[in-house]
Amino acid sequence: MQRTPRPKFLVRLSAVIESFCAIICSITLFSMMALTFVDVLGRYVFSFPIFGSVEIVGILLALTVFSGLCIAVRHDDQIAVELIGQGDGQGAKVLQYIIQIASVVALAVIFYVLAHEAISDFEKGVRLLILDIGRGLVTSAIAFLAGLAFLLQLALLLLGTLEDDAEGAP
Amino acid sequence: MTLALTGFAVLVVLCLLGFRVGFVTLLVGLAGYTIARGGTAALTVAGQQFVHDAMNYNLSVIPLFVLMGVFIYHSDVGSDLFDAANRVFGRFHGGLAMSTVVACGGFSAVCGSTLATAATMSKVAMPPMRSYRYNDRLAAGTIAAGGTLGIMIPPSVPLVLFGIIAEQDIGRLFIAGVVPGLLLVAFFIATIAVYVRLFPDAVPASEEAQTQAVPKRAGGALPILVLFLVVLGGIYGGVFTATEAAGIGSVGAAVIAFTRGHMRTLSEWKMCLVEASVTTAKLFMVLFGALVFAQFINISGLPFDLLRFVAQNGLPGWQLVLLVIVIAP
Repeated sequence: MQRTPRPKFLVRLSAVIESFCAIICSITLFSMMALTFVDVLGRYVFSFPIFGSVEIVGILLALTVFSGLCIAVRHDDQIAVELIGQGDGQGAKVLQYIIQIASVVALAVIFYVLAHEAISDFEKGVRLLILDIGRGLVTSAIAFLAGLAFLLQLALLLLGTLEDDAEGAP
Repeated sequence: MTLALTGFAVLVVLCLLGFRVGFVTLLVGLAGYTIARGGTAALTVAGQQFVHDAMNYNLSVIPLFVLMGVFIYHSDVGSDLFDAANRVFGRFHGGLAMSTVVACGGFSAVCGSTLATAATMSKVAMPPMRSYRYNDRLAAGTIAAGGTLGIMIPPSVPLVLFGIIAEQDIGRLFIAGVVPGLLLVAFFIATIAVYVRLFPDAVPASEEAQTQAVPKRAGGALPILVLFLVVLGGIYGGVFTATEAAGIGSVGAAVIAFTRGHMRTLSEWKMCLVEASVTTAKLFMVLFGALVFAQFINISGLPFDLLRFVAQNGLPGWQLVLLVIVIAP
């Protein structure tokens, strides 16, 4: 993508979002690992499984996925097959722009459907079976993270890159 | 059927053009579903699918196995595996290349990632092969081929993804991957043996020099073997599920890394956890897209058309397998 002069506050804001998401996904993934391990130990060694561990792990998984998504989007780091669409010509640049637009649309769709699910969960009062907490809390949290990913992808489309010159991929 | 085949064709072309696989699979799936059933239905199905899968306990096997691989990658255990393999194979002509294949197999057994296996072995095995003037084509080809063992040898992340999408038992898939994985290792070694006989100049170093090419540090291979046996044995023995095995495996991998002098600072932990989370997110985007696309394929009636085709033509098993191989890519 062509590098255009980037508003510094946008680059800084995207770095802040990444730091925020890095903290979230570090905590959630570590908790998932620890919880799964302790739950197995509790079940087989002490015959005392952790209450609601399955649902807690489910919540942690959702938060891990969507906080990780924000970081992946900021570094434009998604799974792709790049056999044909490479090169520095005008055609390749146009293609890259179209690819970024498609990514923006996809993330907009993901944000929209998750936000819709969150609103629906609150309206219907959907609750988690074992923990008995409103599922809307979880769906709204991941919708928020998906929204951040969408905004980062939009900024990426407009600016070309969100990384400082000193930064690299995660 | 035409709609589904068109969807497949569009998807393949867009993927080859470099569109993000997960995103474009989702968009093509949604577009197809919209054409078949309308936009509201498509978005509703997608939303329910996302929430269901994002919070699906069984899918937590993915980040946990990825995390296990990341810990192993950062534990620098690949060098010990290479040294252990070199003790056995170093005496043969082309021994360093053979050792690389075996080390790749061993690393895959606890890593599950092709990319991580290839990256690790590039760092570990390439320098000694270069210093003993192995042909670059042989050295690089060995590492590239050895890296692919990560797909087959359990715990393989692609097998986990396949199991989830095809609704197959992940533990049984893992077991099914062991023998083909070992066969691949044997075939790769045999290929190297044949290659160095056909092209003797590709391996100029003497046998003795090869065994001395790397220091004797095989101690790290044992914990890796134990971890592999605990993870796979636990699943196969019915002691714990694939998800629980992944949790235990990731803790075990962290312990191995810790005992080897890594994972001792908060920043190291954060780096590994973020790396695993980002990989998980990327895999989940592909998974979300694939599941929405699968919904579109289901309502298009393609599976029933294929079933009818197979039943009407009375295809024997081997022809069916050939057909799947042709269609699958």
